[in-house]
Amino acid sequence: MSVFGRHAFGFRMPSIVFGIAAIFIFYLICRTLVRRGLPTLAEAGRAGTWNYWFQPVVFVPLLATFLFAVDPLSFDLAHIGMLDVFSVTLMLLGFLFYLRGRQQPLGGRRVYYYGDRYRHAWQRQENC
Amino acid sequence: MYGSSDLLILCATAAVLVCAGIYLSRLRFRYIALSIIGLAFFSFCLALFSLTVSSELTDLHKVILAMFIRFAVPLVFFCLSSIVTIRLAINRQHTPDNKPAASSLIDRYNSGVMAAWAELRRWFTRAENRAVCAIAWVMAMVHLYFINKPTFYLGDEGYYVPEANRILNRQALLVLEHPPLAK
Repeated sequence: MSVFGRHAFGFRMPSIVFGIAAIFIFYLICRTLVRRGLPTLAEAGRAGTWNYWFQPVVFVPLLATFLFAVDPLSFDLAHIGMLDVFSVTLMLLGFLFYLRGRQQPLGGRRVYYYGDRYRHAWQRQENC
Repeated sequence: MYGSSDLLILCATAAVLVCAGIYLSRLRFRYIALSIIGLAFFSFCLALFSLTVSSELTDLHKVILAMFIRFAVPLVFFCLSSIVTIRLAINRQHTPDNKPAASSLIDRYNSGVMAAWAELRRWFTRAENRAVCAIAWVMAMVHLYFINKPTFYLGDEGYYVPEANRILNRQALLVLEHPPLAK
């Protein structure tokens, strides 16, 4: 409120920012989960074509994200000045980091940076 | 009256400005660096001034402080992102076939915080992320349309907003909690 002002915009704007961030984080989580056992985004086709958007690896995360965005509870919490949306967003962010961390070798910044040599067998099976 | 939290924000802003100025001076953006370091010096002077004679702050000083606190940080981020965009364009120009850059001045952008920031900016412009960006954009517009409706407090806002106002006014809390949720 000291940043945005002492009115409705001031005490509801942080919730909106975190609510919009939660949409992106939820999309990344869904894309990470759906990617297992399915063709990668690069194999699904060229982005922008009609066939591309209806591939499961593309369509399922988008549908889930759309349902999350228009869900009445998350929608209401994302534009009123309550504290729930902050905890939800940070929990989703933690879960995303957990998923990403499982896919990377310990201490590594990028999977492709080290190649497949140092990745464990269970990681090779379920990744990409 | 400006409290310790405002001064903390101001000092943090000044520190960010100093870091940005030093970084830019290393990249030979001398004029921008000098102006940003000047802004930092100005903010430090304001902070010291408000610390020493905080009881004699006029309305003009309050307006200047508030405007600086609200717009300095977005301004710095805008400047940094613009500079990264320009330098990445230069990098692309110098390395057409994705070869490693020849100059150490350009190599600096391939690692570190600035590269991560540039990668984040590129994520939003990729074709495969257009749909989720469209969803988020539409939802942001809907949220901003409904931001003032209803005009009364919804749910726990009735507790949090008056408490936050009292915290900002340095008054006693209405509901004793530890720590206060409105903070």
